[in-house]
Amino acid sequence: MNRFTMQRRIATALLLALSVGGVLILLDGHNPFEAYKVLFLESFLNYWGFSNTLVKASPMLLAGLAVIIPMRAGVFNIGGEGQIYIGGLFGAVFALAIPDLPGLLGVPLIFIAAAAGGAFWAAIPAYLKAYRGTNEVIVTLLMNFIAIHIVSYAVAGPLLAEGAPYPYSEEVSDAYRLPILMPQSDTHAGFVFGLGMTIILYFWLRFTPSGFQLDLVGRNVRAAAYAGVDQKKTIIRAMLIGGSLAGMAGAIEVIGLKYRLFHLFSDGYGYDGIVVAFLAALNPIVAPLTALFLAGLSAGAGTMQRAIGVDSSVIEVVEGLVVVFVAAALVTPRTTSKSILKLLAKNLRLRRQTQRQKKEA
Amino acid sequence: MQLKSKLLAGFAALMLAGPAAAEGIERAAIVMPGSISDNGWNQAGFEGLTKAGEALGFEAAFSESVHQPEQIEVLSDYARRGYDLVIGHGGEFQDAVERVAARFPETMFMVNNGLGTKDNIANADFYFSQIAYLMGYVAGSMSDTGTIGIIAAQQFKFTTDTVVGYEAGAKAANPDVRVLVTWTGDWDDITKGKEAALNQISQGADVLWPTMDSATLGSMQAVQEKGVYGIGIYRDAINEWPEILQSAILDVRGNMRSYLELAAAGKLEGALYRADMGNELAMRIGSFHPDIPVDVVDEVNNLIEAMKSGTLVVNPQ
Amino acid sequence: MIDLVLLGDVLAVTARLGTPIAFAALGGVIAERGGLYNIGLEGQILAGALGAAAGSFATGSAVIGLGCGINCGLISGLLLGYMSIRLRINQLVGGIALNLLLAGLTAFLSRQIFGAQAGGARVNGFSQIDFPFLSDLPVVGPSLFSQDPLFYLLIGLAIAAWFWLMKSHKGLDQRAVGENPKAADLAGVPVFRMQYLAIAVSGALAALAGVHLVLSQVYVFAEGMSAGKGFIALAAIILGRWSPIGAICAALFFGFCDAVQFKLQFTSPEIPYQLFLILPYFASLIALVVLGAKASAPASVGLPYDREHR
Repeated sequence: MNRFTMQRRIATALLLALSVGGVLILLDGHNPFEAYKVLFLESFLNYWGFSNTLVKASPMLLAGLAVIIPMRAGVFNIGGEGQIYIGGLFGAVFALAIPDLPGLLGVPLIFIAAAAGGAFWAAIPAYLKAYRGTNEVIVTLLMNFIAIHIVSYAVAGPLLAEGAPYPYSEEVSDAYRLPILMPQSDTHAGFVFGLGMTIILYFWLRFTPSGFQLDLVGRNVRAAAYAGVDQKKTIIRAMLIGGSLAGMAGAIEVIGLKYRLFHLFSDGYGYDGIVVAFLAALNPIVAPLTALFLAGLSAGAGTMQRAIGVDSSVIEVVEGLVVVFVAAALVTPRTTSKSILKLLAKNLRLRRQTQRQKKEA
Repeated sequence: MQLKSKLLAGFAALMLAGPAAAEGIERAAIVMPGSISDNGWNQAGFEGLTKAGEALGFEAAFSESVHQPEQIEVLSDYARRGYDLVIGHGGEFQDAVERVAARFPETMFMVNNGLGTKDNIANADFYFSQIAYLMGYVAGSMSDTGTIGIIAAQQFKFTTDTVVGYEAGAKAANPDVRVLVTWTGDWDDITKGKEAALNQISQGADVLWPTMDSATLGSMQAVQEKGVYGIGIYRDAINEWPEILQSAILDVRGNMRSYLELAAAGKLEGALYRADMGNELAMRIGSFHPDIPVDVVDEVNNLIEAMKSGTLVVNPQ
Repeated sequence: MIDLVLLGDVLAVTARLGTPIAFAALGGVIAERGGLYNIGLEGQILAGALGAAAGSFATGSAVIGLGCGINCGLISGLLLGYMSIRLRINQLVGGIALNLLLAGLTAFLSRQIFGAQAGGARVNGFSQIDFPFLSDLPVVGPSLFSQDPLFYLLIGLAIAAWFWLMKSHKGLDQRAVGENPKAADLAGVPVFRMQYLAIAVSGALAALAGVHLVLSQVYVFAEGMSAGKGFIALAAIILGRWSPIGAICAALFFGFCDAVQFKLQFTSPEIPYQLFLILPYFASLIALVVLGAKASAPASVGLPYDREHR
């Protein structure tokens, strides 16, 4: 399939999704064309809208990478959300405990603390998977809930800011705040950091032996064993990298956007990461695009409500539809309409054969 | 139904927003953490703004279910679109409002239940412990078992104030009363709300005060099934649940109406607008349950008078 | 010395809190045994809840509400099936998208149906059935013999599902599809039809969780009332090792932890409540590690089957 058919398929998918959603927008009493104009213009082409898209895309990108890397080794990391929370917690605790370092030293250390937090949270399911064969999906999922409650406890208890009207911590010092890329907006350097990570991971997977090993273990455990790859180590390595990436996403939310650790500070970014990863077909270099797409959709959806007043429940439906249709378009189409006929014919033949065999038997 | 009211609000704004309103606000927006149909905090905020908009002649807009990471974006977007007054509905918006308000000095911001005012940041909240004291007094007087309960979602200043006030009021009515406190961790999980209530009932509580949002429905369901008494919040809940002894009407609509009237007249300042028992539009008690003896009713009314005159001060303030 | 009344109370709460999770987990088992992930359980619970509330609201009959709820589940299951089987969308992405879609759609529709009443429109539901004498038994009485009809339906369905999967020929076919669709296909099992059946039934079972929330617990529909139960059910499937009975036991275990959590808040108020909220998750984690639940998922779950490439 060439690139043009793929583009056409995605365009058709978007069109279909938006038409179905358009009916709902119409039912809600708004002009769907106007609504969609806002959705696209204001999420990508307008200065403020694009800045919002970038703000959302940075945690989504890192969370997506946090799914991609373990998945390449055959491990499903559903735990991005929990790793974001623990990463944010570690980063915030470090930033609040040692508030006086110069930014150039402090910020990298905060990132390291957050990465360590995320990696720690990923290490538990990684160990259980590698050495005890425990299913990683359930462990990471359970640990998400635990992480959210831990942060909730921390910001309502030991870290609670003086006189706060809501569970949140004190502010991190000015020196630790990520630089703002687009003046007057909140677009911090998080997305650029994510891009850097993307490139490093892309080259690591493609050109280094340890990167190959990852794919080898993910694709064919037996072949990997023949090649002398330590499967357990590879799984743990992949999960630790994934956890650190998600942990750093947490740090970005804390020192890039909110400047405090908040109760419920991540809005399901870990789960968005799963969508980002699979829309990118587990290729890190494509992840920034899919993260931007998903972030733009979400940012534009909010604008649809503010600019026109479309009911937020309708917007959720439209977002779901777009993800479904685009995901469907990205599936390599092996069964075209012509081949369906062929397939049916083959089926019939096969069924007759088996029936004959049964009779004979 | 909603659609119609939305359209009406729009037309009303178009017709009325003439030169008369030029001094005050022409467009106001509210940003809410939850759903506008939660029968609680968010619905009250939504209706508070839209109804005031219709009556006072300004255009009202809203965003619902705005979560932590989007707060700054949503608040600044409204400011950028030229709304004169942007309201963050809940203390969790305080921090984001402070950030955004610094960037838009011409726009007025309000945080409902906020803590911290600036030139263009106003706060509006309630004297929570005061009304909670009254509820505690009613509950303490009416409990046969000597055990009463309060159910809340999350611990932070306003909820802990409410709990402390409730306990103090109950102790004033009956020094031996036992007050059960349950934190469910969730404002909207109805099943949790119900279980928390059933649990308190099985511990012997016979008057319960659920103070969440949607989750309150579940608690009241349990109160009804088990035939104990409940206490209402936000509105006169006895109209929906006959088991309600008394309601703490934290009239978010009324409180908002008070400051929105100021805003419409161009007089809203960066100050704290706190509703107490002296401001009946915003904070008052509801109807008494017919089971409540006259002397208890009188005592409660005396307490209210003492609060208004300042002879009874409930802490924390 | 164990307080028997307290224990009986905890068990009754366990049954109530565990039932919706158990329905959804049972649905998940059926889907995964047919080789399909159903990550859309959370959304399907909402669909069932809305269907039940709307049906009962319109007709005043809880039974019709039950029927509407199940139908909403069937439809949402078939939709997910179409996405996973025909369109071959990654089943996790499809499920996540379905959750998003159904969360929005149920909120939108509930605002259309119940209007300004949304969040407060009470509907008729089922009341609990007290078995004479049995419900007065100490400890197990209230939890086993004083529940609503849907609890007994759950027990019945669990046994039926166990019998279907483990004892019937068709069930064997279905398991074969989940393990190795290629071989099943060659053996003449209609793979796709089997998968559509499994995912539709799965959706209906998940919807029953929502029906239970509305018609047996709180008698109203509220936006987002599934409150994560669909995700906990996903955990229960694995903890229960893909067996219908196992999944239900796991779901009841979650219910039990939740029930204990509420009790502990009273007895130890000085401990931060978040620690109690963590308890059910932590306990299942420990259970998983101690029981050493090895990965024993149906071998082909999550992999779309493609006849041309067999």
